[in-house]
Amino acid sequence: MNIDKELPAQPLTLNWEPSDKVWNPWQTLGRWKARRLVWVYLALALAALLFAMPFYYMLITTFKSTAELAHDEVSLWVQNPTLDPLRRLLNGTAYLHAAWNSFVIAVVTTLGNMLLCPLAGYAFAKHRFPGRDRIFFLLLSTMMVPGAVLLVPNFILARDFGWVNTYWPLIVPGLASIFYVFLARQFISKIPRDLIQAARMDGCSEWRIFFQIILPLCRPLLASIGILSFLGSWNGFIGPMIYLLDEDRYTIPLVISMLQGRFGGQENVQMAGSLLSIVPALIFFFIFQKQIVSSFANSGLKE
Amino acid sequence: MSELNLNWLWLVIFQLLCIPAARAERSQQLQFWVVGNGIEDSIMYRELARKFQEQSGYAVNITPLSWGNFNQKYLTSMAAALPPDVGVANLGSPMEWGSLGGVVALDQAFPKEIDELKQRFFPGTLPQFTFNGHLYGLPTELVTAVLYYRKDVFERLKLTPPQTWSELQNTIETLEIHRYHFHYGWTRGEQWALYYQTLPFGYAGVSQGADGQPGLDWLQPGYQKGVAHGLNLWHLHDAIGDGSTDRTIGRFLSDVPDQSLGMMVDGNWVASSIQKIAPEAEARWGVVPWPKADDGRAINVMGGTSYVIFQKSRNKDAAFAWLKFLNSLEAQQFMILERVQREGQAAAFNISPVKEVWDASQAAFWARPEFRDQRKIIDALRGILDTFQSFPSLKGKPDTDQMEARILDRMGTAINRRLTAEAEAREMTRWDYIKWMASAQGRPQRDSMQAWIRDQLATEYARHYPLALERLREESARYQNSYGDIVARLDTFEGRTHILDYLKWGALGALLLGTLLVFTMPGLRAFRTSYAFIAVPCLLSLVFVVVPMLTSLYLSFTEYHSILPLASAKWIGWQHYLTSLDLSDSENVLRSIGKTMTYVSVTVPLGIALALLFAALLNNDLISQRFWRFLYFSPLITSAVSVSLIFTQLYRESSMGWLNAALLRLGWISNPILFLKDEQTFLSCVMALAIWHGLAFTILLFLAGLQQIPTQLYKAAEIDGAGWWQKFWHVSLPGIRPQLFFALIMGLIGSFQVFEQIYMLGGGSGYAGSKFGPNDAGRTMVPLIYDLGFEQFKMGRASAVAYILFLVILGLTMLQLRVLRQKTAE
Repeated sequence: MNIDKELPAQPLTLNWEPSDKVWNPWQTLGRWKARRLVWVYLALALAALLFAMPFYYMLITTFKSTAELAHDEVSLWVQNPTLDPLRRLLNGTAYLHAAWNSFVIAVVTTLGNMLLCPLAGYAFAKHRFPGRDRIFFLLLSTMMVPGAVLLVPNFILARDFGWVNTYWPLIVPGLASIFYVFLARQFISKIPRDLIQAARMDGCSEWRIFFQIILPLCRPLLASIGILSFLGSWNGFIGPMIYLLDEDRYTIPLVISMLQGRFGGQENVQMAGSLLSIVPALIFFFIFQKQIVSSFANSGLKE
Repeated sequence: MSELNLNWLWLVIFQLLCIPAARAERSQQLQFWVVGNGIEDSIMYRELARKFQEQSGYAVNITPLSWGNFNQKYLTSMAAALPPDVGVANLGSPMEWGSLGGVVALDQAFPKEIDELKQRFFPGTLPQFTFNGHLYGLPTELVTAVLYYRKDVFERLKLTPPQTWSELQNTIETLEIHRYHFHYGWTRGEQWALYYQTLPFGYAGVSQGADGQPGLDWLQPGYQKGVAHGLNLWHLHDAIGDGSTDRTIGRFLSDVPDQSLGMMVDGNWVASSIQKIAPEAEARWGVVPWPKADDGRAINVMGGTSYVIFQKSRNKDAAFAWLKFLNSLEAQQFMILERVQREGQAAAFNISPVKEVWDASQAAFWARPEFRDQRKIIDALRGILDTFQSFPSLKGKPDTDQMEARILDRMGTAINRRLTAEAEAREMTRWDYIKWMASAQGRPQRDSMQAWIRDQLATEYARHYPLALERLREESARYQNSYGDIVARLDTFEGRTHILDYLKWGALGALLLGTLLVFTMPGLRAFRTSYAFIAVPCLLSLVFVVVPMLTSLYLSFTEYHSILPLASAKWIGWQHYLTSLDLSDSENVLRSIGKTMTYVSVTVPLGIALALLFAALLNNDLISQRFWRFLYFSPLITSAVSVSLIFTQLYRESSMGWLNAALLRLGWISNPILFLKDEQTFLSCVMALAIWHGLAFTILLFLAGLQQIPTQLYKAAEIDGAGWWQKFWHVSLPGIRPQLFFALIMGLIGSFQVFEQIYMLGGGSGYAGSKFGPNDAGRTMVPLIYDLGFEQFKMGRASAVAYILFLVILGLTMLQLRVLRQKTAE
């Protein structure tokens, strides 16, 4: 957009706290403001009901006993809270084991992406070498291949590598996602060339430039890549389902999906499993909300 | 570390990735996989394993599998040559896998001991595991249905316990006249109607003709009568209530308070239902076996589980010892006792297929106090054990079963729609209408409805019969042509190089050549650091995108089952593409693409519009902003699987489901909506869930974008006299253009890949029927590829479908680019 160019440099921090710098469509209506805001609150609260209802359902069902669930009516509250579903979940499934497995897979994948994608993005943005643009275009075009198309052949590949029932097929192919390379290239190309030139003058090696100059400037980008790839890996389902065979290698989504048995009657255990998988992430999210939002605001999502 | 070393290190490490990693090693324990009823079964088998270890010294490691995906897990493990030693599967699997060389033919591997072992079982139970004269598995437990009836109610109504189907029908009519109504349990789903109603009619769905050609029973009047009975029972007697927490098949409950339960259709395993439902009336209950067909035919094994030993097991002798141990008197009795003693709903009474367990010499065992509640069912079962017979196994039966399940799904949807419409026309609820039809005045109405169902069913069967029969015969022939020969000469295929292996070596060669070039050519050497920086993404793209794309292209022209060695892939030309595009085929790819397009074109725009709205709302000066945002962002971090589990429960079709309860309470509907059981609402449910789940991310994105827009712009717009809408349209929207574009791309990529939600929401359908919602209403592209590739293991067909998907997406992208370019040119 032309507007972008006419403007002075944008502030790099997010205006989290309410301030008059943030435009507010309702505020400008002056004396109508208070009344308008009431409507905003009302709309938000109504929608929030819809947003929170599934979570609330999960929360109360976790603490319901099987006998209480069998009652033929809807109850919005727990009559006799019990820890039995949680106990059954932890004793009867490899839940904690799975949490560790999910964690390992997600952390390795995330670290790989956080290191390798900015590295390649930096080369594509700031280096000049033969075939650069052609290679970048070829890489981008692989993004058009939907993951579903690769399910079968990648399985055969993993089988030939002896990777079935290991974490490798869940980690290695996604270690340097082209999408994040693209984001990194966009982000890094905004970094002034002078900085890099100055460092080169001082005799810095390219590796040092990358680790000591580029990476520290990439914090919002790294946060975005980190969050997206961690969530993608932590919540991934079809990959673990295809590749993992032994229960002690299962990941959390796999264990949870197993709770959906042939008969009913395990609703509370299912909800307990969902609750446990969500709560740590929710707490993390609640604490770092501000950083997460601002990282999205500042990462390479600009034209 | 010097720069040169680092460069080398990078390249060496990541080229190492190409070389096959060390095989996944398993411990030396005997691996035993169990598909069963969850947690309690694993605990039981662990105890048995402990005993076995004391006797034999072998340790057994137990892995539970769920009914939802056990087939996929077993087949994957066989394909990867990593199967367990012994597995528990359903009744159909041993023959299916054995015929592909995946499991051991017990009579060949253990010729000396097998006869003794075979003697232990009821003879009618073994033919199901036999194919081409070989025995591939042994039963572990059998499932049948029984009728519980209340003696005093039957006496008062002058009824005798039904022995045949006509008698059962009369009994039901009499009960209903006296205001007993059918409440079904967990078996809601049309394929159960098939299982529990038609088998006792003496038909198995498929049969082997005298000429050895497989045939279908679909057009037999008796067969259709049985299915119609099932559909009637499941729909025209359908009473309000939610059976999903009930483990009975169905109950006839009276609306007269003191005479609650009159008759109950039940699986043999529900040991404690009577005690739970009507403890005071325990003494008044009688149990009879499930009725036979009017001509006396009975196929009374409706399901069960079986043991198999896998071909790739390195410890077959220990595996066989474990199998023998499990079928010993001691182990069988332990299992029966253990299951009976479980708490509450977990308690079960299973039918052991081992003759000795039921022998008169075991009277002391059956006299144990633990069986106090099971005495009647034990006596009822004793009478029919000798005639226990399962249906024959035929290649292609899973395919025709699927087709039939779809017919029944469509019937179910049509019947329910008609019921709702007729009920609403009479201003009744569906449930009241059903009750009214059961009364004397309503009878003619019900008769006409039943006649309509019979006609519809006959039409549907007639329409699909030719294709189904063709598929069945094709599948039998395909086995003989494609696999039979391969399985017979399996060892000659092992280790043979295949054209795809050259592809892999070619890729590796190209990599090495590239590396060599970079380090030797003076023109490129100067840029080696840059090349090292981009090495990993390039390498990964080559190995995990380019090579697989070529592999997939090749496979799409072959017939290949991944249990078998790659060398056995057989070139068949365009056939897969033609079948995939054939409109009469139920796995037609265009239909899936259509569903995917519907899904994408609803979820993406609606998701973005809603996200814009909420982002604009949240972009206000709100009190406790943190709280609001947290609320709206929280779906972001939850996995699709967890969310789908929650929604499955919210969508439940009775008033137990919160959504239906809320709608009923608000008075917006008068009948509960069968959200996940109606093929026309299923996909909408998935879309609603997906929008809910995806909204958080998009709101987050837009909010971040909105906050970046400088206030000066708005001030300037205000000076020009713009209203809030104009400001939104001319300032906010252009301001978050990058975010909009990003959300659109991410949304499109994500929507084309939708899988988890459909898999989980459709999960209630069970093994026998459609996997992705009623009539496979939710089988979009990824579910179709997954189903073909990893449930049916038709790798060639799956590859062809994947390629068609790829071409469609490619075409759409090109179109999009052209439109965008034109717009920019303007």
